[in-house]
Amino acid sequence: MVPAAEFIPVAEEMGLIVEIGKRVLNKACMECLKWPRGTSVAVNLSSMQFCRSDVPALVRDVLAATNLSASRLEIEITESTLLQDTIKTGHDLYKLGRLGVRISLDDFGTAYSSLSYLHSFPFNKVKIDQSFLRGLVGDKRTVTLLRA
Amino acid sequence: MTRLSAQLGLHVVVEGVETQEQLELLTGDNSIDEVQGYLLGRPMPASDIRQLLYSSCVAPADTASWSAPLRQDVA
Repeated sequence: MVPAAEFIPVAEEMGLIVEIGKRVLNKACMECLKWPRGTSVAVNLSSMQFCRSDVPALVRDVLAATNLSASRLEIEITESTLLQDTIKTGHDLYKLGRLGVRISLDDFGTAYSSLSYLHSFPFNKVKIDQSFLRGLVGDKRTVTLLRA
Repeated sequence: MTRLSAQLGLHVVVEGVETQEQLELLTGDNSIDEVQGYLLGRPMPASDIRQLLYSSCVAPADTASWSAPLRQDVA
């Protein structure tokens, strides 16, 4: 398996991420249909997908085509996606929320880490980056920050 | 961060749990809903995930990356 951290930057650089992103979303939704009821699938979207395509329309179309319930799909974005075009991305996130999909802020704590993002956008979930855990054992300050 | 996020009504996930020691440190934190990391599951082919979801009677997986609901451990 090629780690995502290796091929995603290449796909973004080559302008392939929009097409790959579409296929991944479609594939993930198809796969989730084969899973037990009550499970859901989380799909990471690249900031370039928000900049170069209509993400809410894509999600709506894929859900309609696969017949997967919106409540079984979770979209993950990172803070850097919000930094690219905050207003447009914000609008897109609200549209996604209205479709009924859940939205997660991934890798929180690595980049800008703006706490205002947590309540300014319709996030359902925050995923705290692994870098906090690496320094956790034996480091009281990291524990304090994590638990704040 | 975990408490603040929980107070904002967010579902809180801590990523990158790789050791039992890390997991034990997090178990005491009631504001954490889920943990995720190599200690609980590694990346795997889709067919294996399907099998894992159907065979698992411990806890239903929440996402494809296989997260464990921490609150169950706390209880």
